[in-house]
Amino acid sequence: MPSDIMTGIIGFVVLLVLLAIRVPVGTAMLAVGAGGIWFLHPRGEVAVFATLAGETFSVSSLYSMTILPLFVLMGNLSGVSGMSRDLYSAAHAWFGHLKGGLASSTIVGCAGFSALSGSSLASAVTMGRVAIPEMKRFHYSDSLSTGSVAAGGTLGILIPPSAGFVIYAILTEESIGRLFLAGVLPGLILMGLFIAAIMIQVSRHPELAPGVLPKVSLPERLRALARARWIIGIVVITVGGIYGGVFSAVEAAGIGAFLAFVATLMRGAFRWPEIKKAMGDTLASTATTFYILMGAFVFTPFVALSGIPGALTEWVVGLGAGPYTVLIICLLALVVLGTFMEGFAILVLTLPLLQPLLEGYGFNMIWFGVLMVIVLEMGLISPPVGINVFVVKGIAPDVPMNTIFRGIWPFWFAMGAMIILLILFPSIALLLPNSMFGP
Amino acid sequence: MPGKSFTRWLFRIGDLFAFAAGLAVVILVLMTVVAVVGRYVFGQPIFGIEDVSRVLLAFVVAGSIAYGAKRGAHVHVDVISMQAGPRVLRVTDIIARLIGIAVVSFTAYSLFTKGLCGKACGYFTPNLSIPYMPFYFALALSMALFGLILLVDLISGKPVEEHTPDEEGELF
Repeated sequence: MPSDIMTGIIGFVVLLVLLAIRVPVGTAMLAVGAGGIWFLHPRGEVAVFATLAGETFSVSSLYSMTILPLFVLMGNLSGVSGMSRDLYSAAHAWFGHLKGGLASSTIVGCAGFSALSGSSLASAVTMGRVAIPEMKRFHYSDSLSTGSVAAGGTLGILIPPSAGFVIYAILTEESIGRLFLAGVLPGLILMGLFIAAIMIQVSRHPELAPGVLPKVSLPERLRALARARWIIGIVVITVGGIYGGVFSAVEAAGIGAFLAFVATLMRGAFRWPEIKKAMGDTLASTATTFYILMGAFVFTPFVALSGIPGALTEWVVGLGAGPYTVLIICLLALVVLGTFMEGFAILVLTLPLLQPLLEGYGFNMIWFGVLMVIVLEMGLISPPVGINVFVVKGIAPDVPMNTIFRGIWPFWFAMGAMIILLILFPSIALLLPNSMFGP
Repeated sequence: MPGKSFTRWLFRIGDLFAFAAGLAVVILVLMTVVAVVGRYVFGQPIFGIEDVSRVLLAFVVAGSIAYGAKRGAHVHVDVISMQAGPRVLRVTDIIARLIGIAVVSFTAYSLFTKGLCGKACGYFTPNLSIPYMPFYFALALSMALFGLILLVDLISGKPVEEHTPDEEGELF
C-alpha cells in the first residue's frame, strides 16, 4: 500500500495525464478527487458519494457565487448593446492623436470594458472587433494591433469585476470585495504600463504605427465621453458602490446587470437575437466556471487527505529558503504552468498547495491574489496556448500566430514590471481594500 | 451512430434547460435589485432573500451545465493536438469521453440519491427552509444529460474540439 503522500503524488500525475489527453478540467479533477478520496478515506465509498453530491451541490448553491453569472451577464449585455463601441470612440477621441494612439485607445477601451466584464476573453473579443479594423485602416502593423488587443483583454481579470478574483476568493475564503478593490490600482497602473510599452515601441519603430490622427477638439472629446455615459455610469455605480459601502460585491453584480439591461433597452438594442446571444454566452461561461469549481471542490479534500500541503510546506521550510525566494519560485512556476494550462485550472490546482505554504510565511493572501491573477494574465498571452491569442486570431484570421506572439512580448514584460512593482510596494494592491475595510 | 432525431431531442432538452436557466438569471437580477432597494427603503434586509438566491443559482448552474455540454463549453487543455496525429487523438478522445461519461453519471447518481433524502437529512435553506431536493434533482438531471451528450459524441466519433469561446449563431 502506498503512503498517503505517495497516493497524493500519484493522483497529481494521473491528473496531468488526464489533462494531457484532453479530458475536460472539471472531469479530470472530479475523477482524480473521487478516486483519491475512495482510496484514502477510511469509509471510502460512503465518503466519495457524500463528497461528490455534497460538494457539487454546495458550490452550485453558494450565495457568494451568484456574483458570477450576474457580472458575466452585465459584460455580455454591454457587448451586444454597443456600449463598448462608445467606450472605444471616447478613448479614441482622447488618445487617438498620440504616438500609437489607436493601440493606446484599445488598451484604455479594454480597461474600461474590463470594469464591466470579469472575463479577459470577452474584453479581447469585444474590443478587438472594434479596434483591429480601425488600426488596419490607419496601417498599424499587425503585430502591434493584435498584440495590443490580446494584452489589453487580459485586464479583464484584473480590473474588477473579475471572475479570477471570485474564484480565488471562494477557494481561499478571502473577501470578494477586498480582492475587487485590490485589483483597481494595479489594473490602472498596468494599463499605464501597456500604454508606455506602446509608446516606447512606436518611438523606436515609427513604421509600426504610421497613421497619425489629428487632435480632436475638447468639446468633441467631451461629447464622445458623454456618449459613453452609460458604460461609465455603470462602472462608477458598481465599483463606486462597493468602495462606498453602498452595497456588497454580489449586490453590485445584480445592480450592474440590471443597469446593463436598462441601458440595452434605452439604446434600442433590446432585441431577441442580441438578448439570446448575451444570455447564451452567460450560461456557457457559467457552465465552464462552475464545472471546474465542482472539480476543485472534490479535488481539494483529496489533496488535504493526502497530507501533501503540510509535507510540501515542511520540505520548503526545511530548505531554509527566504520567504521572497519561495514567493518568486512559486510565481515562476505559475508562469510556466500558464504557458500550457488554462487560468482557472491553474487556480484550482495550485491554490490548495500554495495557500498553506504562503500563509505559513505570513504573506497577505489578498496581495498574493493580485500577483497570481497577473501571472494568470501572462499565461493568457503566452505561447503555445495563450487563449487570448487564439481569440484575436479568430478576429484577424489573416494575421499569422507568430506575428501576434511577436506583438505580445512588450506587454508581457510590462506585466513582469507590474509584478516587480507589486512585490516592492504591496500597498499598491492593499491601499484601497485597507482604506475601505480596515487592515 | 445515434439517430438524428434522438440527438435533436437531446439538444432540444439542453435548450430547454438553458431557457429555464436564462429566466432564473433574470429573476436573480431583479431579486438583487429588490433586495438592495428594499434594504434602503425598509432600513433592513429582506428576510430570506439569500435563500431564494441560493436555490435560483443552483437552478442556473443545472441549466448551464447541460447547455455548456451541448456548446462544448467545458474547457480542456489542448497540448496533445500539437504533438499527436489524428489516429492517436481518436484513441485519446475515446478515453476522454469514456472517463467523462463515467464521472458525470456517477455524479448524477450521487446527487439523485442524496437529493432523495430531502428535508429528513436537513437539506433545506437556513432561513426559509426551502427544500433542496428539487434542485439536487435538477443538477442530477443536468449531469445525466451531459453524460448522454458525451455518449452521442462518442458513438458518432466527433473529435474533441478546441475550446471556442466565441461561438456565434448559437441557439439556446
